[in-house]
Amino acid sequence: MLTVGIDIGSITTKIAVIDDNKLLFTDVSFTGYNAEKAWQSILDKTLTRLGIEQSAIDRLIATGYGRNSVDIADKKITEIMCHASGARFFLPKTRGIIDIGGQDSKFISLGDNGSVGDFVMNDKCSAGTGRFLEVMARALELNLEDFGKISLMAKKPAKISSMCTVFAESEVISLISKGEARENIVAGIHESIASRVTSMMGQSATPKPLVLTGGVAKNIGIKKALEKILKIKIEVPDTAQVNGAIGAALLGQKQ
Amino acid sequence: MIGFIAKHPKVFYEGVKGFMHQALTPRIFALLNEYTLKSKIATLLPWKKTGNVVAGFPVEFLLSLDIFPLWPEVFAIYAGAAGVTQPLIEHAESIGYSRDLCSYMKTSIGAYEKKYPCDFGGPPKGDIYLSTNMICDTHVKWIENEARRLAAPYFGLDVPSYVSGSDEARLERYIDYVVAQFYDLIKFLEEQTGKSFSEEKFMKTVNKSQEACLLYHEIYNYRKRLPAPQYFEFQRLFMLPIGVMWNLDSAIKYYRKYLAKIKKRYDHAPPEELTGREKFRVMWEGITIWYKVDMYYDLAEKGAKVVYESYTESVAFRKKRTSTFPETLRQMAKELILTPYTFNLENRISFFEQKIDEYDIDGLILHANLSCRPSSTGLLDLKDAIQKNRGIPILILNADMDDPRSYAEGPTQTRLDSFVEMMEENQQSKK
Repeated sequence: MLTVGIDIGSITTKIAVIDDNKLLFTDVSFTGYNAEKAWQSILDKTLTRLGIEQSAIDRLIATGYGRNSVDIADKKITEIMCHASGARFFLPKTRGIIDIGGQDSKFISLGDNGSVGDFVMNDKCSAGTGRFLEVMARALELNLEDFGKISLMAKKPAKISSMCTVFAESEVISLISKGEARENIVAGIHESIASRVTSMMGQSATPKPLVLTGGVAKNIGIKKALEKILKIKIEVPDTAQVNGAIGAALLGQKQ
Repeated sequence: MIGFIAKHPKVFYEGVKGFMHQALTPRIFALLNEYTLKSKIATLLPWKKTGNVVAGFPVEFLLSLDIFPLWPEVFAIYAGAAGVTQPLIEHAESIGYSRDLCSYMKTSIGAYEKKYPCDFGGPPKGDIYLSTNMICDTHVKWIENEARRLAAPYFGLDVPSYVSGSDEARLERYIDYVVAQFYDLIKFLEEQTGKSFSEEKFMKTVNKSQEACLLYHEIYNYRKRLPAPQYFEFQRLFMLPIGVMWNLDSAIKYYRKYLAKIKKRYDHAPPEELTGREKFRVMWEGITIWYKVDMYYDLAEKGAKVVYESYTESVAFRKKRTSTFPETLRQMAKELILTPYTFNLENRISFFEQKIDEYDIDGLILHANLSCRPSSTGLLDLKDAIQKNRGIPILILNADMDDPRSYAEGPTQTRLDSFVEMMEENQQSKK
């Protein structure tokens, strides 16, 4: 059974193709201003790469903020369910997921039977998300790719007290003018994101194993900062960025 | 009204569209219109006294002295349902009221300042102002502040919080304290009206209140049935006559007729005519989101019907018939003290769990209402405890009852869709 999952996020659109529970193909492209154009383009590209017709797809599941724009989807499922499904595919015993995407960060806890027990998300604020990192990288004149690695060189992470993207940017600029080392500022930014995410997770015990997904999972600095606060090892799948799309395609297999 | 339409044709047009989009029936619309019209007339008649009050205030004292009660909160609800609150709230903020304050209050102040009619949120100026802290501290300061601004006499009724919920002797002392203030209230009203308080007239008024409330509760209980006769999008309007005109014969007549209709459907119809249980039965805690009725329609479309809200149940305060004047005063005081919002966490958890069982609930939505802190306090503790004890999905939804700036469409949709998916998963895992 050939199923396709398309995850339309605020920054990137992801696609995953699953054939009889085996991951066949994944891809990522920028969403841009037109979600409909974004999914159509990535789907066309995928079909060309795989050399198949659209009619060969048994089920297509859409997820992410732009899910409702996918009019050809057999079903639209939220990213909460899809990330849970994707994380279980990567690590069947997963009990908790931190997903940090472009515009939101979420924590999903799974029950004994693997179903979603609860979830929490950031509210109406982009601090602690991929968008926040983008703004910070721009302020520090760094590529997003280098952002994680450079933080590992920090000797003493700077304190970024502000939890608002706009105000944190001013704070970072003020640290730069004071001559603070760039790696310390970057590490401080990672710690502020990790602290925001972990406080959202609440006071109860951290579920283990814990998986980090979403585009921000590619940033090693975030993973390290989260591990430092939570005092546990966090698993990051190679496919972390496309985890939601994989989960969607997997849910398509079950429908 | 004509002046308002001429000055704000767009607001009027948008407002009418907003009202029409609500789950209004012609009968409820007519009843609410009757109250609005009576409010306007009472304000115009030079010999008629009016009193601006808040939810929960025992208006029978006013009514028995021929004082017409005006409810700024209900007018703010009208503005919310019409979808015209944002500029009013922003206007109130521009004259110094903080963004964190109650959006009903700011809608009301903004609408008064902009001279909107009561159908669109503007409360007429009352002769006297009265408030109580029984469910909300803002009520006290809102009305007290309005009285000061408008140089009108004010009466504040202090209702102590019965936090422990278990000490009977303390409850009796609290009742004594509230009853003593009822006598102060009578004296205040006599001074304001120049009339003498009549126990007989008061008892007649209370009897009517009790009748309306008992009818309302009897109807409400049918929501336990499968399927429920009415859902939140309708119930929130269905409760308004009890909120503003519980002493009017037309409201009592309406509820009596409605009860007869429901009884016919549930008690006398052949079982095959009752089509069975809703896919998901949902409980809602907190004030409704007035400007977003679509949210409830969308939930219903996904099979999630809201069948119980403590907010719409508690609005009918008179729960027990009484016959003597002293007994009535004590019962009214008790009803003011014992409301779900004043329960401590332990009692709130028990109350919620009892309702979850009675109404066969699949999932609970807790409205973390940004401008109503009393109704949003302790939601995390409540969620943790109920989730652990009952194992149903619980969603904390951040929004605001009357301020659309606090409602984010995309994130809210994702949360509600996930909530429905979790209820689905939960049901499947039980099979």
